[in-house]
This record gives sequence, structure tokens and C-alpha cells, in this order.
Amino acid sequence: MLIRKEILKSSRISIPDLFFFVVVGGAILAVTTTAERWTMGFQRDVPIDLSTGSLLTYSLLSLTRGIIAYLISLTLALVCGYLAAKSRFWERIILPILDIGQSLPVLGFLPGLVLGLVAIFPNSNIGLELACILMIVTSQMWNMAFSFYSSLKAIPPEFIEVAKVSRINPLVRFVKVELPFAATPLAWNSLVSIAGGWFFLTVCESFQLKGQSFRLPGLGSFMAEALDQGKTSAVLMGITAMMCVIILLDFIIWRPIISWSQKFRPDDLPLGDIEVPFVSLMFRQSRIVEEVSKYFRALKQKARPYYLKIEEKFPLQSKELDSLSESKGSDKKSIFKLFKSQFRTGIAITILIALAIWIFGQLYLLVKELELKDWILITKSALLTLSRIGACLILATLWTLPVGVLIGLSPRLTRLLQPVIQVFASFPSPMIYPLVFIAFKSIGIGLGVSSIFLLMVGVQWYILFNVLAGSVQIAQQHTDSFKLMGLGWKEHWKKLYLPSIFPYLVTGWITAAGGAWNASIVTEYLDYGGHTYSTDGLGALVTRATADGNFQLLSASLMVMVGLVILLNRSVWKFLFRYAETRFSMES
Amino acid sequence: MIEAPQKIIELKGVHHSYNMSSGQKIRVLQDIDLSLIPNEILVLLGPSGSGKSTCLKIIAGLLEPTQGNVLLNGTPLDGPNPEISMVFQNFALLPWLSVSENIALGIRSMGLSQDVISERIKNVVDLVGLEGFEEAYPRELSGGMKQRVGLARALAMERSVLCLDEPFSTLDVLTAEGLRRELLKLWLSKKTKLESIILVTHNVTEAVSLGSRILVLGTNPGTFRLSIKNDLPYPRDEKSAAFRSVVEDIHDVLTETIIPDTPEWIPPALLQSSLESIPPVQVGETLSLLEHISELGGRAKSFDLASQLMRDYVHVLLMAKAAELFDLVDTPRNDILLTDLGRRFVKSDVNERKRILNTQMRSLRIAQLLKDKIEGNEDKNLLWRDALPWIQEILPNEKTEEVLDTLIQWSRYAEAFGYNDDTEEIYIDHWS
Repeated sequence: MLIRKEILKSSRISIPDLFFFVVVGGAILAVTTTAERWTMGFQRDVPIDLSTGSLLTYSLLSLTRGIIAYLISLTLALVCGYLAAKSRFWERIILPILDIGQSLPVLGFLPGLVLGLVAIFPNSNIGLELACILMIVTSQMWNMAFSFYSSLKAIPPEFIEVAKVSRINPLVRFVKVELPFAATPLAWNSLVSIAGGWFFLTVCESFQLKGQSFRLPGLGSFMAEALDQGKTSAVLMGITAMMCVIILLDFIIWRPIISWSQKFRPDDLPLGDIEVPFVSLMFRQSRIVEEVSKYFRALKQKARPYYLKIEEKFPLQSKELDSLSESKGSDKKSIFKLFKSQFRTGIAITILIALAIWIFGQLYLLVKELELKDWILITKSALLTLSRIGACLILATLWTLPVGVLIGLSPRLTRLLQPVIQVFASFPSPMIYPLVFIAFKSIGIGLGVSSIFLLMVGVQWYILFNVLAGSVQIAQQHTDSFKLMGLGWKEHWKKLYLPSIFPYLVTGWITAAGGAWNASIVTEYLDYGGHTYSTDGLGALVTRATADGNFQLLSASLMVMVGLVILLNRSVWKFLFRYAETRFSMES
Repeated sequence: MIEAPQKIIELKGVHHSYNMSSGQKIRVLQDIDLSLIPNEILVLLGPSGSGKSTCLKIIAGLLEPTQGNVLLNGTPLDGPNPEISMVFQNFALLPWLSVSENIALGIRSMGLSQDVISERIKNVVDLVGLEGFEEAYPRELSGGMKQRVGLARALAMERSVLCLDEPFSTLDVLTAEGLRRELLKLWLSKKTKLESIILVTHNVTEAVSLGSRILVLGTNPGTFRLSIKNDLPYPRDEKSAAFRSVVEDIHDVLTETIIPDTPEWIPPALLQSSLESIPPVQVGETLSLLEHISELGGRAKSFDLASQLMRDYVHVLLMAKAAELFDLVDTPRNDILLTDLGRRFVKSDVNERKRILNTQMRSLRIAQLLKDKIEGNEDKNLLWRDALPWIQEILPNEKTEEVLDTLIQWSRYAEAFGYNDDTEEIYIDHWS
């Protein structure tokens, strides 16, 4: 160890330094390439270069889109979560929006978004790029906002009281108390969000609208082109590149963030074994990083007296403490406040109702031309897609349940396979839909049935992940006691595994079903090799209406889909969730 | 010629080691020979980390020892032990099953008729006093009632040996006391098929009040230090002289394994060279202990201290050992006695205390070694993870992370070494 360190020190540039260069250089390249793209004249359908060399550029472009989208999502999530947690007024508005947003099959709104934004920026690519980014944002911000909101709500009151008593200003409180508390769940939710984001990214990079194809250069369009031309080597390269991006992100972003966020775990439990993330290891050993951070530390030291002076002049005190004493001091003011907040709520509700009436009016105008047979078609398609999603969930559960339990009960297997499953779950399934479809077609199975399996490709991992998480929780004491009581495998499943896992399984189903509605839009209607394959279903209806530019049918289908999703969430899933929570909670 | 009693379970030359995540192998059990005969309550007594629970798992056939044999009625045991039932520390009840369903779980696989099953459940519910709670769910029960369910489930299986793994340690003192008495009554009444009991505990009083034979385990690695035959008639009076004498004997053994009495006088040079780690105790609690002893006039019995401070006896001993390392106390036999330095220390303010500890720390061998190690580095600091293999090298038989963390904690108080949690660097603070 010592010797190795010496060698690294003696040479001018060490491996960690090199790593540092790669990361910084890559970031610069990504920014410039993106900037160049954005300022170029509008290009609806860019030619895609299938050479290996261009793959790096495409990867960087896709990555940049993903990162920008994530940063926007994070900002929105922080703002929404904070507002909802801090004010009753905003809570009442934001929570329902988050709830609906989470269950929307957002992919259906892509065409509207694209047309709108392209119209706003007719002479540049910004519109198309923005559409792609916003699409990702609308897919990933909800669960992050929810997690941040519930973390803020769950902060033990004594922490807030300490902050108030010590008169910390709200900004410092946010950074030192609230953000740390929310860090761990926010990090995990970010990971899930980014994984889901890839799905939308690849779809958005290449799609058909009104018979025209819209394309953005990136990994998604590279794959689409490679599949279209039937170039196996390019297909494989595309898959590899995507895998690399996912694994790289995992290494240089997620692992460090998650292990960093572990520092803020509110409980005083021992941390268990946390591996030192690769990146911080690399950065710690890099001399350049060391020099730079030394410089900043010195700078901070120098700036300190000035900072203190500023603080003296402008005392950073909590306004809330003042308002607290205020409200105690005079009843008049608090009554006035109450009236003000009532008034505010009233106005907000009025605006909301007006907005809702207006939207429904517009929607009605849009779909009033549709005939009865259109509505019958929509209903039939909806039922078909619904049954496909049901079949998909059942089939996925059939294999993920035993496999998940098997892995989860063995700590060794869990350690080994969890990262692998994570990568699989992150992989955007639309990239390989055509491949799976071809495989099924070659054995004589049409899209009607094989689209069930296409759905599975994407969403089965959510179920597996949750089953895994559930079975990891099963206490050793229980398995020990089952062994001693001489109970067989049937009893194990009936009395121990299934009940323990059920709450997790429901969560997995809900997530998978949500993903499946979105996926149905791209699995029931495939463009591949110059041919279009489609089967009956609501997803296909949405895609076909989009391709034909039939906006009446599109709106009606979307309305039905959204309505159905919300209805299912409110009834079936909510019921199962409640049932699982009350009946099978591990808390005894 | 008296025939040797028949042995139900026998452990012969059992060793067991665990692999730590750091790649280190920790030997938890060494050279364990043990046998269980009919009609006895065998107690495995030891501090945490002595491997007593591991030992019980091996007896139950839930864990295969890395070395050695387990015999059941003379034949090697393979898989879960069919002669035993077990009661767990955290009850191990399934929250989604009612009390009677939880109890039924234990006899489900025996192929009994429904009538026999209900008969048996009714029987054990009666025995442990759960009438009226048959249809309740575990979450509706208090800790004591939950453990009754655990006991009922084990009894319903009608096995000849009952294993209890720290069964009362999560319960409050009164509840534990009551349950202990009931368990004893149940066993003495012979109303069940129960022949023998194996109890794992770290509570000396509990061990002496229940055990007919007590095996005392020591730590690092877990080996038997003492086997005591305890013939006091049941029920036992904790205040009686005979009871106290058994307790004293056990304390002596525990003290001897943790703070071995050293010869009268060792040349200081030799004392300095012996390498000892600071026992895994907190600075704050140790200081409180010293203050408490000072209030008692500077001398106290460690067992009295344990009961006054409501701390585990072994833990008190470890604190005493830490204080002794810094020359603040002496530990003749079972007593803890403040030294002159210790008296001065207790009377001082925080800064003076830190100064004293700092001085003492600088004469600690392990601290000196750490200083040399840090000074040997170009950056004049030592990364936490680089310190681990080093500790393992100089103290191969101890838990390296625990040793290092304790050392850092004490050093921070004494301001001898500092530790930056962000960069994970250990550095020299005040050393003169």
C-alpha cells in the first residue's frame, strides 16, 4: 500500500488525476456539444451516424439531457415539497397535483408538448430538446417531491424547536436541518427517477407525429436507426453504450451520493458496512483535487472575518420566532391573519374551479365530434390494454416472487445481485422492444400477445426489487423458529414469506402498473425496419392517433386512460395498500 | 459403581468463527465441550460477545460449527435438532397470526388431528396464563404477554429440551422476575414433557436463581472459564448467604477474565511495554463511574456499583479496566479503588481532567505506537481505513474497528489525537 502510494506520488500525473481529467473533460465536452446543438437551426429529423465513434457524442448528448432534466426535477421537487410541508395552503393544492401527476401516463402528452414548443421556438432545436427534457421532468419529479415533503413532515419537532430557539434563519435551517433529514430518501428516489427517466428519454429522442418523424441525436435515436437498418453490430454497440452510461452514473453519482447521505441518517444505529465509493476514493487520492480544496479552505478562512462583519450588520434571525411572539401578543392580528388565509384559500379554490370548468369545456369541444363507434373502440381498446397489463403483472409476479425471495434470504446473493438488478431496472426497455418482438414473431406469436412480454421487459424489475426489499426484512429469528418447528416449504410460503412480502409486493405492483400504462403507448405500436406493427389496444390507439394527427381521438383516448389510471389507483391499489398495511405490517 | 447420567445433547471440541466484512476472521467459540443431562437447567452465562448465543444455535442445529461434533442421544446431529424447542429474545411471533395460530404453528407439521391440536393449545394456554387472549394479535399484547406466547408455542411442541435465548432481557425487571418464577414452577411441576432447559443469559442473578449447572463463558474467544454445580433448593432466596456466595464466585471468575490481577509490583518499564487496548466503553460513563466511587469514599465493590448504576456487571468491570489503564483506579479483587491521581482527577475541572488524561495517554503503549505510526506518514495523518489493518497487526485477537473507535474517542477527549470525520484522518493533537 505504502509503496503504491509512493509510486503514484513520484509520477507527475497519477491515475486518480487522470480520472479527474476524464470527468471534468467529459462535462466540458457535453456542455459545448449541447450548446452547439441548441443554437443550430431547426432540424426536425437529423441523420443518425451509426459509426462507433459518434456513439460517444450521442451518449454525451443523451446524458446531458438526462442530467438537465434531473436537475430541473430536483429543483421543482424541492420547491413543491418545501411549500407543501411549510404551508397548509400550498399543501392542499400541491398534494393532489402530485398524486395525479404521479399516476399520469405522461407519454401520451408528448405530441402536444412537442407541437407547442416547436411552435414557440420555430427556428432552433430548443423546442424539441425542451419537449424531451420536460417529458422526462414530468415523469420523474413526483416521487421526489413526495419523498421530500414527507421527510420534512417527519422531522422530529425538537429539531425544529432547537432551530427556532437558537434563532437560526430559515436558509441555514434548510441547509443544516431539513435537507440533511431528507437526504437519504431523496437520494434513493432520485435513483429511481433517473432510471425511469431513461425510458422517456429514449422514446422522446425518436418518435412519429403526423406522419413525420421527429428525431434528436442521442442514444435512443441511435438505437432506433440501428434497428431500422438491421445492423446487429450497431445494435449491440448501442446497448453496450447505454449500459456503460448507466453503470458510470451509478459509480460516479449515485453511490457517492447515497453513501454521503448515509451521514445524515437520523437514527444513531451503527452504519453497518458502507463501502467507500469509488469516486470519493479517486478524488481523495487526486493531488489536483487536494490542491484545489486546500485553496478553497484557505479562501474560506480569509473570508471569515468579512462574513462575520456582514452577519453583524444584518443579523440572520428567524422571522418565525418573532411571528410566534406576535401571535401570542395580540389576538387582533391573529384574527386578521386567519381571515387573510381563509380569503386566500377561497380565491385559490375559485380559480381552480374556474380552471377546471374551462379545461373540461375545451376538452368537450375537442371530443364532441367523435361518434359512438369511436367511443366503443376506445372502451374496447382500454379493456384490452387493461387485461394485458394484468397479465403482465401476473406473469412478472410468478417469476419474481420465488427468485426475489431466494435472493433476499441470502445476504451473499443480495450483495452480489442487487447492483445487477439495479442496472437492469434502469435500462430503457424501448431500446430493445423491436428485438424482443422479432424473437416472438419468429416463433409465430403476434404483437397482440407479445406486447404483454414487451411490457414485462420494462416493468418486472420494479416487482423484483420490491420483493427483494421485502424478503431482506424477514428476521433471522423467524426463519430459525420455522426450521426448529420443522415446517415445510408450503408453510414457509403461506405463513412467513407471502405475508411478510405482501406490502412490498403491492408497492411493486403499483409502480409496475404505472410504468406499464406508459409503456403500453410504445409496446402496442412498433415502428421497425420500415414497417409498422400494431395491435388493438389503448396504447396503440394513442400512438396511431398521434401518427395520424387525429387529435380528437388522441384527446379522448388520453382522457379515458388518465381516468382509468386514477380510478384504479383510488380503488384497487388503495384498497390493497390499506389491506397490506393493516393486515401484514411487520410491527408486532 | 454409579452409572454416568445419560447425555441428551453433547458438544465435543466445538470451535466456531465468523467472517467479518473486513475480511477478518473472528473466532467466537473455542474448545467447547458441553453436555446436557436430564432434569437440569443448564445456564450459559457470559458477557456480550462471548458467543453464548452462537453456542445455543449450534446446539439447536441451526448453525454448523466450523469444527467439532454435536451429538444428540449419542448420534451426530444433522439439521435442526428434533428434541428441542426454542424461545427467542424478541419473541419471534408472526404479527399476522393470532395467539392461538402462533401457538398452532409449532405443532402444525406433526400430522396431528385438529382435535389434538386444539386440546394441546388449550392446555398450554392454561399453563402459561394466556386464557382470554387466544384470539388476540401480538401487537395487542405487552412484552411479557408476548413472551408467554413464545413460551406456549415452545411448550406445545412437547419436546424434551427447552432452549431460551435471553428470554427476559427485553422485559422490565418486574415482568422478568414474574415470568422467571412461573417458568421455574412449570418445570418443577413436571406437568409437561419437558426434561431439561438450556438458558442463555448475561444476568448473573438470573443464572444463579434458575440454573442447576452454570457454565461461565469468557470473551475473545468464547471459552468456558468455569462450571458451577448449583444445588441450592428451589425456589431460591436471592438474599440468602448461600445464594450470595455462588454469585460472588461467579463475579470472581468474570473479574478475573476481564481484569486479571497482576503480581504485586511490576517494573514500570515492563508495564509500559505491554500492549493493551482501551476496553470498549464510553469516556462519559467511565467518568461518571469515577465520580460515583468518589462519592462512596473512593472505594466500592464492583457488584454493588453495577446494581446501583443499574449497569451490566461486565460493563462496569470494563469501565474499571479502562480507568485502571489510565492509572485512575486500582482493582484489588472485586473492589474498585481510586488512586491518588484518580482522586485529583475527580476533583478537577474539565480542562485539568483533559490535561491529566492527556499525560496518561502519552504513556499508553498503544497511543505511543499510534503517534509513531502517524509521524511515519508524510502527511502527518493516518486514514481511518489504513489504521484498521495496522490495529489488526498489533492486536490480532481483538475487534479492530471497536478498538480503533474506542481509541479515537478517548484520544479526542484527552486531546491527544484528533479525528476528522469528513476526511477520515487521524492526526496528532496535543503531545507535550
